[in-house]
Amino acid sequence: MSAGAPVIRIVDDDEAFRTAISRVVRAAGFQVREFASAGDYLLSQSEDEHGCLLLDLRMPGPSGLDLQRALSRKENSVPIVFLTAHGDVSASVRAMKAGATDFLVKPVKREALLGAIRTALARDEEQRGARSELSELKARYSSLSARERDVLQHVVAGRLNKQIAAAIGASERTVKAHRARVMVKMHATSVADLVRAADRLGASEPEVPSSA
Amino acid sequence: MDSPCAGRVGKPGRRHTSVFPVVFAVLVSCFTIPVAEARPEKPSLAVDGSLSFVMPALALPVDSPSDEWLDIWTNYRGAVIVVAALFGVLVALIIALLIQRTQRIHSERSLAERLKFEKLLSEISAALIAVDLERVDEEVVRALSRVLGVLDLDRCALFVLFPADGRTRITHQAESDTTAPLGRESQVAHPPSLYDDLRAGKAIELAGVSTADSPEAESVFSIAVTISDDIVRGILFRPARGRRRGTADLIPRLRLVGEILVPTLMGKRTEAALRASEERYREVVESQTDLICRFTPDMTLTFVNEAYCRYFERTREQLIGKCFLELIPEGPRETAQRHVMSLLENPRVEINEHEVIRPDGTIGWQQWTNYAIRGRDGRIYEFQGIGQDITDRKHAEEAERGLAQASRLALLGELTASIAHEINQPLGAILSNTDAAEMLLDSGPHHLDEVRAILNDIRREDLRASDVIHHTRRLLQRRPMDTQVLAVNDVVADALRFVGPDARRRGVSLEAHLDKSLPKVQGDRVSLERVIVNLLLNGMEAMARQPDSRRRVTVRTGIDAGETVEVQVIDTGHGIPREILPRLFESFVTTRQDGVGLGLSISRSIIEAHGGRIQAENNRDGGATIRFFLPIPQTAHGRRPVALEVS
Repeated sequence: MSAGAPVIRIVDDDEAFRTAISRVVRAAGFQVREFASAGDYLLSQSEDEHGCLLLDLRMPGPSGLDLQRALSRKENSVPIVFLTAHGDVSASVRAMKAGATDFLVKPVKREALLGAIRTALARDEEQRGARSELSELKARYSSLSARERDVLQHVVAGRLNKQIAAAIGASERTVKAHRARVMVKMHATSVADLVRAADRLGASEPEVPSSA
Repeated sequence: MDSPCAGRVGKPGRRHTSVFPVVFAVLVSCFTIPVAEARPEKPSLAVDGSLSFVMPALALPVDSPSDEWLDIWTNYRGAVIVVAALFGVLVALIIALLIQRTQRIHSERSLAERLKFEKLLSEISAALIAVDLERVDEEVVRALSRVLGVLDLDRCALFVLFPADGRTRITHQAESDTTAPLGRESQVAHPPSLYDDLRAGKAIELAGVSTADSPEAESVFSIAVTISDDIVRGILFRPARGRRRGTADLIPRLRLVGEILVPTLMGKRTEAALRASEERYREVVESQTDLICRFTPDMTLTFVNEAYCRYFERTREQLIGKCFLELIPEGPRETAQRHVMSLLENPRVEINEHEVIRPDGTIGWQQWTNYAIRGRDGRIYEFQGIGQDITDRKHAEEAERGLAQASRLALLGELTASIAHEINQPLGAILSNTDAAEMLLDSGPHHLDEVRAILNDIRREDLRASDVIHHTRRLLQRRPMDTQVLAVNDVVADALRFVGPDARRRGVSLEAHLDKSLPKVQGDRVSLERVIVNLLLNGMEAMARQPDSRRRVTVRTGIDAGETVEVQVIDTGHGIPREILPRLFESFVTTRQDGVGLGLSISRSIIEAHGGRIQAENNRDGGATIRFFLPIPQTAHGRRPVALEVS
């Protein structure tokens, strides 16, 4: 989670249009970085910065949709606002399905543009927040010992200490101690917290035989 | 020889008109004139028998001057005078009767002669009509010898005279037993007035006609029958030596003979020439669909051919002498009339199209090429027109116009995405630039330089947008062809520039291999660009499903066989299905799901209107090649007419 003002990236092959858009965005007080093609953007990777991406749908070489697909495989991609000269319905549907924040048709009105940028930035914040929370959880999870992870699995599966003790071949007291440590390490104040954390980690699936 | 017997046309005698004056004269002389007076030189006398009534029965003998008779004379002087006078009258009457009888015999003879001549003419005509070409010469000679006999001539022949140099050729001749035949060719005296005299219809005494076996030349009378610019055909004759009467009565008769024989010969020759190429004759003249007519400047038909009659389902008799405007519907009649008037004022060969009323009452279209026919004086006295029915073509053109309209719409559809992008791009830039300028100005007065830069950009983008619109309009507008000399490479370059943005967005790479040495062609720039744009769009469309790396359209120009400019558009798409290939250029045939199937058919119309052709084939390594050929003008002034209005 790096600091600094958000940077609005503009990817469009049409220089005149790109310049004009960047003037508006800059005049609205944002930092702007321009790219003439999807390739340029990928090469200059700077995803750590906050911000969003204004992306032309159709460009020579890889299109906007191609870039969106490439970025979706990355963890820390920024929200995308598509710009297009066409009322291309199928492309816009695909873009939105693939997670685009907005889809603007050229010529773009200032309010619509800035509104979309703000929405995208808000989403970026949100996504960054979510992403940092997850990485926190992962760090916490990785601090658990193997035995503690086992216990965590059983706890989130809703088993009682006695059952867990039987399952892992330890005393009930030992289970209790593990469970307390898990709660502390995972910064959980309740079983419900723990379940939510496990859920986010994708670790809620117990590798334990059924006893629900 | 310079005294032609021109104008001495013998008038047949008026036999009945002089009866009454003569009778009157005789009666008066009975009572008033002492001495009878015969008037033998009176040219003609009248009808038989009528005088017998006025002849007195008295026939007393004469006076006697001797002494013995003196008393008698004294006593009967009055009676003697009367008797003498009556005797004189009687003698006069007898003489008159004799004269009248001779006259009658003469006129009967000349009547018989006339009848004989007219019978001869009709026999000759009949014989010539029936005769076929092989025997026509023989028949003409036979006719001439019969004329010889009937008109009492020494020689009679048909000739061809070239007035320019006096060369005379005898084509057919007959002569009396005592006369030597004429040589085939001779040189006659040809005074400058010869042509005009012949043309004026005079009978000319030609000197210098040579006989076959003697170098001596003789003079003959000649009468022209047909006269064209440099050749005169006619009949010549020499009256029999012992012939008592002059030549005056011969001239009109021989002219008649000539007027029968010469055209028949010419007609038979023409017929023979035509028959010699029977097939061509059939095709070109008889069964041809071209209508041929001649008409005077006041638009009266003077000749129509079979096809013309067939077209209007009327006979020649019904058409000739009619004004052809009657065959044209009232509306366009005036236009047709104006056309003829303008031809009179400014003679030229010009194609004229107009509507006609067809026999079934419907309106058809005809196309006419009219030539002015001038007399020697340079005046236009007739027009000859060659016409065709173009109703089908007109209808096809109308349909074509409809198709052209549809194809423009189809092309517009193809281009919409590209155009929208091309226009929205600058519009988007303009709008955002304006927004940015406003925001900068709102934020304070210290961004004026940037605002100025923005305004510059706005202007530039505005021009860019209007350029796109202009080009698109030009490409899609309905307009007549405007043929000019142009470089095909330039047109290709324009087309590539136009579809360039679209190609980039489709991920298609465009390649051009243009032959720099390409000669210029005659053509309509916009139409040709339309064809090329169409082919490029088709090619790009055909590759929509290909992987990016294979999407390539190549345009190649070159010279084919040194005669035509060839343009190829090669794609790497799915190719053309075999079953569609032969019909590819027909309307509504398409290989695309969303295609209308007009682009290629209109392209073909355009190329064919340029005198070129277009063809398609599949490439061995995938994709298709469409190529078209445009003729290279052979001469600088060889502006080829482009009739079709492609829009």
